[in-house]
Amino acid sequence: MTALLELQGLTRRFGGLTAVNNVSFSLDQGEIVGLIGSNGAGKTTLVNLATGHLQPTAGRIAFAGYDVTGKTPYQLARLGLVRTFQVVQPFMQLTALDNVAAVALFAGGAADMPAARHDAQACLERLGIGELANRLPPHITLAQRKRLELAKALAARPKLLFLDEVNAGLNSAEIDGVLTMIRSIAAEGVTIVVIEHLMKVVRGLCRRLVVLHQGALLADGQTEDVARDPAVIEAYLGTRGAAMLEVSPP
Amino acid sequence: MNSAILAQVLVNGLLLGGLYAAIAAGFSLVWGVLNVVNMLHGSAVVLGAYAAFFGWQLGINPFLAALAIGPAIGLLGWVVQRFIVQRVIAAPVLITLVLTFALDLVLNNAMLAAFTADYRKMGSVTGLPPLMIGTVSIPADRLIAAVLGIVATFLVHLYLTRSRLGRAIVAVRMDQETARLMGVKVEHIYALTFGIGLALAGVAGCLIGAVFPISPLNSGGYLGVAFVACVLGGLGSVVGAIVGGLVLGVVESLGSMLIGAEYGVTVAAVLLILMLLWRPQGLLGRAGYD
Amino acid sequence: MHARLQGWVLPVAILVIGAIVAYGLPIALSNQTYLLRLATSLALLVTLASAWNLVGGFTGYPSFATAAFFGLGAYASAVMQQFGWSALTGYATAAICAALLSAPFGFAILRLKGHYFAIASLMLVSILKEVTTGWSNVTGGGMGINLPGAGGDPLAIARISLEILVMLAAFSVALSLVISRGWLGFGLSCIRMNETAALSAGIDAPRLKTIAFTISSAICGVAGAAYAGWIGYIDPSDVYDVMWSVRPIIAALIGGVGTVFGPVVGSLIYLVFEELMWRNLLTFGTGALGVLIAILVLVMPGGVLPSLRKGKVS
Repeated sequence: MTALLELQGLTRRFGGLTAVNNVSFSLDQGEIVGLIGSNGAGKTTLVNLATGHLQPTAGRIAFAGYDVTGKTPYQLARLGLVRTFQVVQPFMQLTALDNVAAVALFAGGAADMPAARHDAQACLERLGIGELANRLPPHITLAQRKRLELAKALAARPKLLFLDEVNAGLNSAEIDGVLTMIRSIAAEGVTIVVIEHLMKVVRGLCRRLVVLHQGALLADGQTEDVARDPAVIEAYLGTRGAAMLEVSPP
Repeated sequence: MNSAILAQVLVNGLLLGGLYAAIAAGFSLVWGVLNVVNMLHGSAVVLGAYAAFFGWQLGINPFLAALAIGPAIGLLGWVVQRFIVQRVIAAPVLITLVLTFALDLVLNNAMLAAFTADYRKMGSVTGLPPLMIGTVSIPADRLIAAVLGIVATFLVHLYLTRSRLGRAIVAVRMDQETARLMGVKVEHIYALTFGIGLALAGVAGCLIGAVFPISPLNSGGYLGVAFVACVLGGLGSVVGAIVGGLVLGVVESLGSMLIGAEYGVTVAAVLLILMLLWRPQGLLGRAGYD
Repeated sequence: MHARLQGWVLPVAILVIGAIVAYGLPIALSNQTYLLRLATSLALLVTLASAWNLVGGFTGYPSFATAAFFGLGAYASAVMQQFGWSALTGYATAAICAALLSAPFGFAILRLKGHYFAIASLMLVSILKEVTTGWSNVTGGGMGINLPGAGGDPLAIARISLEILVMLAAFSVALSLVISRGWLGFGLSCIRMNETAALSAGIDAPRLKTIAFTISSAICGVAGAAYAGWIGYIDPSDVYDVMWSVRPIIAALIGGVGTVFGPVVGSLIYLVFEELMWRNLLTFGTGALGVLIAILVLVMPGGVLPSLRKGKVS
């Protein structure tokens, strides 16, 4: 079976700096993979490359068997390759409903505005923020805006979803809520890549971890194995982080 | 093509480029630090030229007069920024463009009314014969003007890198928020920078007036020079302005010979657009911050 | 179905009102040439401001290219008519030339943002002005072109020009309304609010921006053709005057950038002021205008009709 996403030798240079260095891995449909690494490891750059926001200096990207290297974010979104942003980016002058409807209309294949709004309402409700439909982004909390961001991602009918630090700025309870959402989205067959710092999230959610360090692929395997990998421990987790990964859930 | 003619064309281009560098440097500084495209700049150059012209009629050498005219126009710039432009400093690009355009209308109209559109020329300033290098003729006035243009620009560069206030300007250009946190009064820096920018324009005007006929009708052209040289050299960088000015001078000189002087603006404008599309950060990129 | 029908009522109403005004106003103003001229100027400014608004308001890209396509349209029409073609062919040529140039040019420079885009758009005006002046065999160079039919009855010309420009203005506004309510307007406003997020939302920003720019430029081109027919004589420094780029922007700023009717209201207010300046302050007219514009910008950058419905699709 062809992998859903295949990155081959992906490299991105900015002048003298190599932000992503010859990274290769593939994702199968239905996986939930964690993409971890310290600040500056190249995680967001990698996501930008995979979702068309940046062009690779070298390497190939294949999605559902087709070469999509060099395709634009909007082309990829329509194909089902979707991402959320670390710093949420709602359309500030549109209601929550219209924020999601925009995606439904332009990426999700809705036939017209009424259909798009209908799909949008469903997405909002799916994320538990249906009642916020007519509110503007400045008037909703950060946690709600994160859910709005997820609702927008869903409206594109994603096959593959990159979640970039979706938990940044949330408290423990809010994070649990988001995790539940992510699990239910995955249960519908969406392949998910979770870019994360938090061990708690990654441990509970992902059976596979991909570790980036200074732009290069450091490790790629089952979560428990990666946590025990001495190179990973040294570079990123530190002994304490690794220990946390091995603690059983409360 | 005759190599002697080519050499002359290149030299002419460099002589022109020295003046262009002075025009561009002030403009680039204001754009880089305040993020304001100062549509007044061309008219400020013309104003400096007229001031030098009238000084010349009183017997004052324009190259010396620049020392007074520059600061005077700089003061005007300081006032304009402090009391008018500052009010919209955080507004969208459209607003600041329209505002400085409007102010330029006022200045230009005032000059047209005061001086009429007739071209004025100073005639020979130094009275020295042209310098001859082989077959290439370098008029004395133009050489001095070009050199002084580069010197003036370089002096600003020194100011930015050596003096405390100058370094504060560079800091604001690099990172306004951090500069503010470190105690820099950003608003004062803005006014100062705008003043320096316009002072350079005034100086450039004196130099230009010494060698070219002047009229308020030229202000658009000088503004265009500023745009193109800036984009060529790279924004906010005084060294970039020198490079951009010289390159533009040479291109214009070559273009004039190859296509004809009547397409001068087109050549420059096409060059600008191509540069923006290919390498918007300019030839020097972000390498030189000052 | 009912909702669909409703959506068309207002744009059609605008066109109908436009037709009524176009027919009736010249008769009402009969031989008052001054008022005829004012009304025609107003219609022209509304047309240009509304067209500009598609790019500058809806999409948020500050274009100064209006004069470029205005002048191009004027010349395209004038040249065609010089070769014996009808005025109508002139208009069509104006629209086509403007579209053919604006599409690739727009596509190229719309990749730029803010000041860079503004300057690149402004440069086109200089380029076209110089090229037009230089291409003198066809365009008459600096001497300009006298349009055939310019020698006719001034009153008849004035009346017909008013009719044409009122219809053009109504069309420009109605089109603006239709766009603002449809998928194109929706996409453009998303681009304006956050282009990166818009790309991720599946919006083909380059395509939408170029479409808006091309439509806007084509309208400006036709306006230029209408202007040429009205004045009867054009030359490069007249039609490629940067003020043709700036006045629509001011009109939109006064009335409310990004709203559909802002350019209409703003054009009226601006023209009243401009007329007062010119009538009373001849030599200093431009300077006074500059003062006026500066004051307007400083005092109300949000416009008379603040952008209440910016980004909303009804």
